Amino acid sequence: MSMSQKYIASIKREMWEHQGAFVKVPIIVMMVLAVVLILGGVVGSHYAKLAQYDYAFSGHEQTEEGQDSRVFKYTVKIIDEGGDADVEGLKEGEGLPLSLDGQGFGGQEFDGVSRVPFIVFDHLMAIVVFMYLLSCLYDDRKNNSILFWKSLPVSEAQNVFTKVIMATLVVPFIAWCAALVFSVFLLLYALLGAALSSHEGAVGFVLREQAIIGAAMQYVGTLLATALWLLPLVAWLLLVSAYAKSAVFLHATLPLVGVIVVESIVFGSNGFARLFSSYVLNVGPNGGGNMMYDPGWWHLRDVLLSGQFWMGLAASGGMLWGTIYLRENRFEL
Amino acid sequence: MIMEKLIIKAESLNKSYGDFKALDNVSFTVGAGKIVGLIGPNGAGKTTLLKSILGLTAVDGALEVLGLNPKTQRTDLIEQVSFIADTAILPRWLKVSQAVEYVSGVHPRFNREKAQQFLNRTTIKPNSKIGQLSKGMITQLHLALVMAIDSQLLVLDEPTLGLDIVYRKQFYSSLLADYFDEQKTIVITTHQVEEVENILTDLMFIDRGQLVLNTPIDTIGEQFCELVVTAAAKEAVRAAGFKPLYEQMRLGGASLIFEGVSAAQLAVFGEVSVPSVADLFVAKMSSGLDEAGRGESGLGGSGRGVAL
Repeated sequence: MSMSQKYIASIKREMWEHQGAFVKVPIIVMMVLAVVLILGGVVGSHYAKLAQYDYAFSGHEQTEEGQDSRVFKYTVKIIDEGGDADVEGLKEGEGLPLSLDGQGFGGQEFDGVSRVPFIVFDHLMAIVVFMYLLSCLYDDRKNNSILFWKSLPVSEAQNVFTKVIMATLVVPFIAWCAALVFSVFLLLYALLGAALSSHEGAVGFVLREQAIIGAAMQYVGTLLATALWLLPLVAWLLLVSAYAKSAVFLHATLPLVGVIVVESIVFGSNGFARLFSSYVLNVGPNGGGNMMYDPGWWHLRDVLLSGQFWMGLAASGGMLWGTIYLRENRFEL
Repeated sequence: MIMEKLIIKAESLNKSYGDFKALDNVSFTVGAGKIVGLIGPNGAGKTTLLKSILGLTAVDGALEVLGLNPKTQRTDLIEQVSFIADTAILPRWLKVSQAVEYVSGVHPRFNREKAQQFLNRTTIKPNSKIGQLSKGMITQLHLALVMAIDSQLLVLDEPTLGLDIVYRKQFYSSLLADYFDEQKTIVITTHQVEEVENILTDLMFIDRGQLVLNTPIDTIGEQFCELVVTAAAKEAVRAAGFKPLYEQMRLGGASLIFEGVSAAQLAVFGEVSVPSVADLFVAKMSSGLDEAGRGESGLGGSGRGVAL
């Protein structure tokens, strides 16, 4: 029996156990957002018509708090600038945004907004992963099923590594897929709106200017960079999950808060606070904002070239070794 | 005589939890094709011994299971060793079909068709979650999974605890009929001694971390005998200098258990027979307590039912 077969079975097991969090949660959130959008569109266009305006999208900016400003913007342009010829002229030479450098995007108006589904679902699944990591090496000890798992030929190293794969690759991939599906929904929604707007060329414009594929590609790079960057956080949560005999959340957070407080009192500095927040806030090696907000493959390069990543990798190795040791030698609650 | 293949080889195993000695210099071997009953009162060290065999806890001393070190070569070992512990609870969220799929995904010696056949004989539905099954059905499922694994050693730790009599009988009869053969070895601990007594080939008693008896079951008659006597004959036995290991009052007389006294010598005093495992166990345990100077009151924890 090959190693990969065992990993596939183990990943399936995680999916079965956490089906609610990994599958149902993103689907439900997606449906709720879709319903809100559709209702918003209906209500918005109703009021738009009442006000004798013809841009069906104008209501969206209010209802979605700017998320659909792209549609709003270009519709205004269509109205401001009249016919479709003008619009095409304005955007000529900008093809589908497939470039990977994150800069040469075609639809500038669509660029920012096409990130929104990715930002939404990545944050959602980050919360899911946090809760998953805290519980995944604790629950089987608590509900006594650990001896059943241990009666099968899967080593604790394989077991712990499966959790790492789930947290760094499988769940982010689910988030990416959910974001992609939702982006396609947004596109269809915009197309429908464009078709209903009675402006000639609006549909073609939306199709040409959409930035879904570009954004999705950029997020592959960002998610890989994030997976590597957040390894120390993942390893820490697994270590705590394997160590704690109760109150896992407090075991995970209080020591970190304690270190920050002690440092601030004794040395008056905030080095640990900045270190921890670079992981919790997913700020890459070069500071700045959350890597999710400004996606691109360059994050991967930056992470791999940073000293902090390699030190974090070593620390993660140590923490995962400790996790495996605890699972083998101190698994009884 | 051909050297029998050793499945378990334990030499001077020791394990302490603080001052408490869970295993005190335990040595024994178990050969292939045996069904060993490991019997002892609660806290005697049974579970510690089983855990060390399964590589779940570290012990001092030399321990080899199937030629492997259980602690350091656990994953290799577990491919050939199965276990059912009362405490090894199947996760409630798992579906029956998923349990079969998972085991078949990770266990190279698992025969999926065989497991399916065993399950087809039960009323368990493949789509049920384990949380929806009764305790008896969960044990049936666990047994179906384990019997479909072609392992060399099966360790059962109180496998029928909390089951009603129907499931308990079924458990051991299917184990014998569908699983056991001379290539396989089974180690069982249980409090329900009467139920396993007829299937055991070997008997091990453990008390306060020490092995107090380790014998093939068919030689028990050579080592021990039970003598049922009237009150008057009992005094005669004592007068003749025979010291029973254990005596138990019965209606109109007593039942005495002797170790190392031949049946022929005792037959003149009354009816001689081979003691049951349960009676032998009580006899061994209480004599151990007497030696330790603690009296019989310490027996309370063993919870063994003895016919009066």
